[in-house]
Amino acid sequence: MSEKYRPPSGPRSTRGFNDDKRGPRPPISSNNNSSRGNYKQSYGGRDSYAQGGSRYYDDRDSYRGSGSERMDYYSSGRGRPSGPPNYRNSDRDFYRSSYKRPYPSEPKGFRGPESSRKRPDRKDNYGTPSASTSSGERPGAYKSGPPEGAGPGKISLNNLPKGPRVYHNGGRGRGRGGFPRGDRMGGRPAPKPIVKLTKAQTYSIQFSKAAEVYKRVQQVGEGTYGKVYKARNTITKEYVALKKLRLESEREGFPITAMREIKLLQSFDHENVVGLLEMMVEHNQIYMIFDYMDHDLTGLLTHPDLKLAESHKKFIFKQLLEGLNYLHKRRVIHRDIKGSNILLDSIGRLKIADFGLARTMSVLNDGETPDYTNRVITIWYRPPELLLGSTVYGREVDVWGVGCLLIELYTRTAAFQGFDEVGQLHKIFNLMGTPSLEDWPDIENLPWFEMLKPKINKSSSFEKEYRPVMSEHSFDLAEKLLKFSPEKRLTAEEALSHPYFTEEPREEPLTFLKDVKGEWHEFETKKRRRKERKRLQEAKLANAQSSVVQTNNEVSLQSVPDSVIAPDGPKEQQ
Amino acid sequence: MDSFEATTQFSQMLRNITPVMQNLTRAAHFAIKNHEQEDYLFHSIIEVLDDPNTELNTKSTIFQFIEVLMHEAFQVSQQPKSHYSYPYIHTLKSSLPNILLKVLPGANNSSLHNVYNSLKNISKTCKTAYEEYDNKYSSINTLLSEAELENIDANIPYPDIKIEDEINATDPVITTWDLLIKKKKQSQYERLRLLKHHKVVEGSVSEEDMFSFQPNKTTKDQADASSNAALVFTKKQILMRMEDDRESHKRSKENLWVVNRPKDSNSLTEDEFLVYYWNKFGNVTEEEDKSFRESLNDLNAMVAQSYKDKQF
Repeated sequence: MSEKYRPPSGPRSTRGFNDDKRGPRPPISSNNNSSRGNYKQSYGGRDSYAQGGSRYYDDRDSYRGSGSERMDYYSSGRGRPSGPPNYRNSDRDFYRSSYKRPYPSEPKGFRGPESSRKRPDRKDNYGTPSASTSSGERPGAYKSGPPEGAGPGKISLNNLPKGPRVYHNGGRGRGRGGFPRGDRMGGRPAPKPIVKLTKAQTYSIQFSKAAEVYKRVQQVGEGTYGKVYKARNTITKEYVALKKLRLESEREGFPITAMREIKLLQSFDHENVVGLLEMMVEHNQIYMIFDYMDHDLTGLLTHPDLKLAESHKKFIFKQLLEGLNYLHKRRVIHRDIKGSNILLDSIGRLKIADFGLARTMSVLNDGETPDYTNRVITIWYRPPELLLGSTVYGREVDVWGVGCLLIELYTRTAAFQGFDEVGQLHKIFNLMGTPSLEDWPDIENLPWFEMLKPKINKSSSFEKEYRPVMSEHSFDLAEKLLKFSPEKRLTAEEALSHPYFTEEPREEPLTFLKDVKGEWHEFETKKRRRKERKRLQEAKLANAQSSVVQTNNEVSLQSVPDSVIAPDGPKEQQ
Repeated sequence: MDSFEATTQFSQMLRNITPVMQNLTRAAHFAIKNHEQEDYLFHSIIEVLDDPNTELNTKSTIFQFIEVLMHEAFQVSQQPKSHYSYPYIHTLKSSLPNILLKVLPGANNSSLHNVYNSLKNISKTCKTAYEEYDNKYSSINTLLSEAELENIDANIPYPDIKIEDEINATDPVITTWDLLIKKKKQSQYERLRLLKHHKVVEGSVSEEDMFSFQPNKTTKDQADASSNAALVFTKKQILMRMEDDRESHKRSKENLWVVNRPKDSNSLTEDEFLVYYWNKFGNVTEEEDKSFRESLNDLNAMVAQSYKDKQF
């Protein structure tokens, strides 16, 4: 333990008691000193350590007020050859205070018998051999303090915290009582120049608030969990992402979901999964700090001029699967796979982010089934088994989302954009066809199947729609990732050995991303869209007004279909 | 409270019941408190179930309520010095098959899963062995008989399920299970029939057509729609049911940590500790045992070798 953090000793209350109820302390014989020192070693040190924390601020406060007198004492004590530093006094005080205290009316000599009566007990309890052990010999004690013969008058942090006590005691009768070397010090000590404290010592006195380490640049994301900012580390000049936890709505302390997320994040170590750099508490807010990534997949795919070649798509998708495979190997289900949670840096390195909904799979015995909530995953990327109410699911739910993203890499729009559970399932069945008996044998045992049973047979138009716009292998892979039956879906590992990744063209980093202007996150994309929509609306309005004037001269703005602007993305879940 | 007052209040409760656990137990406790009026209150349950204006969602919730009521009735009666003697249990149990058919009317089996869950709990409460039926329920595909498969091929609708066909079982709970499995069979049968005989649609279909739920109340034939109301869900009702199910799933997990501990001991007992870990870990398989012994032997051999002198 660094000296800096050593807790001061002696409870404050003791002092107050001293001042109010007791007369000057009876002088203590030097005999007592050594044995007291030992006592402190064997018992008091332990005890006062436990209590140290709470006393800290009190001590510091009164310390400030009494600085100069304390200094007097320290410098005057220069000549002392031995004896415990006087914080031991406080320990004695503390020790005594926890027993019935004798009132001043008690005979002066009470201390001797009392301490000799008590001490053997302690020795029994803690097995310290005898009173003669010198304090310096005990290694590893929480506060061995300077040994008996330590540099006389040397000011170290060991005797720092006792400042206030010195003040109180000393003020009452310095030289008379309470101090081991009271006699030696005699009368008034000569005023000595004030000793300047070293930097380490000022720690407990002055606290200069450092400038903010992370300087916010702008907001880059928002969700139910809180807001995400881009920020810069003022020391290293690196950019980071600050995820501010939303605590206003928390009535039961720190949210357990955030705890879960932090625990998971801490355990990750993979290049395609975000790592938690640190946690920060600032202005009563709690932040999680991550590496900053310039883009997210949704944002990037909305870039109007960005062209991704097959090799680039492969590069992105392979990393996505590697990251997912890592998570799945560690029995973690992400449960919120979607474009805006897939982050990319300036050369297309990819990281899976946002573990707010993630969980580890429970370890099950034979015959047990998992039982998780089905209210997970943003609805566009939610697999059919969750839409049908399954609470017994596994890693396969992430694979469906990844399959959706593969299509999205080619088409730039989400494949299934439902508005609610019913609509989402309809979108899926409409494209993939209603599941046959072979497609999904277990479907009839899902909780909501009876409620959402297709009443007609619909054929799949998946191939017709997507084969032309995708490459041969990517289409095949997508088809296998988007199987109805979770059991038939490829695992992340199997997907990685799909021919898609072994056939030419091979994956290639997105070096051109460096030249892309701006940063592309879903957050900004949404903002841009909102602006665009507003502009269009205003134009429409203006157009409507002008058309009143010049009815014949119709401006074609009216004919801009609404569908030019995509909706604001899927509803946030939870 | 006189019987009339109790009945009115009770049916009001049932009509507005929601599948929140609190709500269900409150109604159950009301019924138990007024167990003197058991006959009247029981009839209001049946009345509400028979009312054509009662939504399917509510009916399914009432089945959950029955589960809770039976459980609570058992609980209060089993307490020492209880002055209750299993109210409602007998009446409910004997009419359970009837109630089931009211909750799952005609060919609409939307509430099948919830009823299945409730029936499992009821069987536990009544200490009826139901594993066999449970297994049957979840492997329904293997249950369709040759004749039934032929009927599917011939595109014949599944026969109506009637209570009169089920008189052989002695325990009404078992009869209910039989009925439930028949219901599931019916559902599966109809699905197979649909897959086999309906033509495959190529073009895009609307949500309403795909799931054939009731279009929201703007249809031209209002009269027809309302007479149908009890049998078909609207989309809104489906979404509500989903939310309710999630909520009750969440609630059901909230009690997982609850332990049954005698009143006077508030600390963990040795037994509890032992039983917890005993249950948590499965048997050591032969393989595990073998590999453990092997590595133990290796370790022993290694240690023995490390001695300069021969030890034993």
